[in-house]
Amino acid sequence: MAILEMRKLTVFAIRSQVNDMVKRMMRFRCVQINQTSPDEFKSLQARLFLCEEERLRLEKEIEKINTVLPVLRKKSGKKRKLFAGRKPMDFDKFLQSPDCEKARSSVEEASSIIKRQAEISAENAKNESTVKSLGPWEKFDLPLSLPESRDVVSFLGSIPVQSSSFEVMESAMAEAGVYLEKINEGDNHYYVFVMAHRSCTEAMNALLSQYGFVRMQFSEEEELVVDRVRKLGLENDSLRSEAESLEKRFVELAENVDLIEYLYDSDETLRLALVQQYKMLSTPYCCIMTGWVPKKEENSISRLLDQYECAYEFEDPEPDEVPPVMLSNNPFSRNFETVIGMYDYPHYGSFDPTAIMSIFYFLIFGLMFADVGYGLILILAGFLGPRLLKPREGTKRFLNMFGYCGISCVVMGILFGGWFGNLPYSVMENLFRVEKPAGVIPFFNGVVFNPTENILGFMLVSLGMGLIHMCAGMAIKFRNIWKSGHPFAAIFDVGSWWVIFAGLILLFVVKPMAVGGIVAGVGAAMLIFSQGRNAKGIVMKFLKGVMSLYGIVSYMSDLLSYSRILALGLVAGVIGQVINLITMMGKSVVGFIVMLLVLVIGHLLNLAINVLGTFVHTSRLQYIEFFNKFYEDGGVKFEPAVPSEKFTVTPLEPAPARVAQQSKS
Amino acid sequence: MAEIFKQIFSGFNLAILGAALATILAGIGSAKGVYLVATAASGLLSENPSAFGKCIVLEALPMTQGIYGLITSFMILFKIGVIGGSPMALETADGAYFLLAALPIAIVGLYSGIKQGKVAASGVVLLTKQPNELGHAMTNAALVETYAIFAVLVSLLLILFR
Repeated sequence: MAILEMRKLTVFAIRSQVNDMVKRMMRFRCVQINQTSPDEFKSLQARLFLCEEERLRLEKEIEKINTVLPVLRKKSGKKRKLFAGRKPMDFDKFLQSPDCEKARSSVEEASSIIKRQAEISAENAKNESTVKSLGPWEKFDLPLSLPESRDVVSFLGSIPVQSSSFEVMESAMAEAGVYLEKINEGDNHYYVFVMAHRSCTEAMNALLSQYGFVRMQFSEEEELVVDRVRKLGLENDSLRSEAESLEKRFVELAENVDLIEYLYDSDETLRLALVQQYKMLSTPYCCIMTGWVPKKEENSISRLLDQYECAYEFEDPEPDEVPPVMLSNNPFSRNFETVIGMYDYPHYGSFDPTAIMSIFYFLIFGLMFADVGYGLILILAGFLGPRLLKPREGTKRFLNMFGYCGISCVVMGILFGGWFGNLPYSVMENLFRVEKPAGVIPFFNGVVFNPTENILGFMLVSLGMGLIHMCAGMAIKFRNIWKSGHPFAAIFDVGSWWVIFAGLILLFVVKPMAVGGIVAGVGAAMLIFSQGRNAKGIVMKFLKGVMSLYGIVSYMSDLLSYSRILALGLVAGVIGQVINLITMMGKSVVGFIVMLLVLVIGHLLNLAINVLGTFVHTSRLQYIEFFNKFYEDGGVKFEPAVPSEKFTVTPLEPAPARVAQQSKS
Repeated sequence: MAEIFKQIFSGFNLAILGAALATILAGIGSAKGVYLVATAASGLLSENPSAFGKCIVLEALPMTQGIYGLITSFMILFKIGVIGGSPMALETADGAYFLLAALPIAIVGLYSGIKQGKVAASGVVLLTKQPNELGHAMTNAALVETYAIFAVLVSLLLILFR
């Protein structure tokens, strides 16, 4: 339960070894490599370490895999199973294995197939459109690219049907000495062949434009249309069969889709290693790396660095440096670190409240959603989900958090009588006609009491929880002030309020109200006496002291905010009861089946909306009501260099055999 | 005329009016709120379809007002015997009591649903620039909801204590 102490690492390494060193380091996942500023090593005239070519090559590879992979995955018939999880893979081993070659050549081939398929379909479309445009001319028994002639002009073209009847046109043209032949008719057009002696051109043009003739040119068509269409058809057939065989090959390649996923992660890891190296400086033979390492990992990192020809040093951070924050907590509390991460990381060197917060999160979540049934579902989802899905560590912890919260829901559900709303009673009452089932089996009505029957009681539980929660926050503030060397400030700034709270509670509990009044008065006096201590002059001191009593308003509003525990608890319970009530209305057999459906879907919906609401509002109670007492935010999260793990999981440390091999060489 | 007036504003009908208002007004608030978030979310999804899960969380936040209204309605209908019993005759004053009890969640639900939707929609905009800021976006929206929670608490207390 702490923020890990960080050490600053500086390494001077041989340039040719850096890439390998960084890749090994990524496996340890505990070195955050910093952007090293050239100013820091001015005397060495170091520059940024760039390896542009290699990076571009990798980016191209990855781009290729990215375009190929989804298509292959679809074709492979091996759908990514929901519960498949990620397989362990060692990227160094993979890159040297024959599988890697296989994957790489598959990607190469698949991407050329995709390219060729696109070409084929473009060609196909082009041929088809050619066939379509030649269609009307199929009966024409000359090549469509009409030969040039000294004395004769000839065209092909179309005339709209509505301009005139063909016979009229034909005779009019014949009068002008022009030959007009109808080749085809369709789409409201006559497709015609026109031929005339050059001397008649003018008359012909006049007539043609009067009819709305549109000339069509087929300068490239030197064969007969029939032959041409047949050839295109054959070409298309062969293209199609090529596409089919390509497709078959593609499906074969899709068998390697798993290997290609490995390849993706391997290549991406190499790229990430380069990205890390971009942050370093370099001289002609040497690279300079700076970074942060948690103190407890110092040994394993030195052991790693000892295997390389490099000089390195671990230092404590300078006062003006802000190390990144890495939280470390017990197996229960660390699941709640996400909640902290969603707010803001605590400042380096300040108090890590995860452990204390996790206990309150657990309790408040359970109170807000006190239901055995929903709790069991949360436990199943929270603990079984990560086993099946094998997600990343962060997701796993987040799910586990809900699993633990589920336990709390079950316990609170037994205490306050939530069983899918009031399902046991609803069933007894409506299906078995038990009168007043709560009297028959009181267990299901809550071991302590049922909030719907004793709202005030539950309100007190909620506010009591809130008071303890707030006081815990204040206790951390107390500790922080005390540790910073001001024990009296701690006693008066925080302790006085505790005295006031105690007094206010006594006011309600102990009979002669004067007792409570006196205790609260003492607390108030402590505040008036102490809170003006930094002001100048006795009057200002007094006024400031009195003004500090105004703080009671903010404490009261914080406290009342905890009434949301009651409200959200009621909402979840009442919706559950309403669902039960509605479903029990079905009487016939069909009604029974519909009822079961409504019951299941209704409760699942209620679960979904209330898990979200409870999660958000429990978090909010931590952020606003708890953290505002003491939290020092502004920490920067520790982001170590890690391998890419989109499809695979890289083992945490290199296999021992490799270490031995490495150290020998 | 007076007779018709009396029939329309019977105690029973006033209670029904309360139940109706709780669902109608809080529902309008939520509908408008979710609408605001969902339109903003479509913008984000056009750039980054994988953000759908985060969008759903933000879209679900302003949904709760409508649900609070619904529960309040159900509780009233339950109390006056429309659900799970026989409808009871109510004095005008008793019916008016239920109508008034429904007002907190009806009015606050309407207003806070819309406003929470606006905050959540701006949270979606935040996600377009900072994909990891879901926590802050959610907390901001949850602050607005506080008052809807207080309202439904008062409405439910009034109804349950009757």
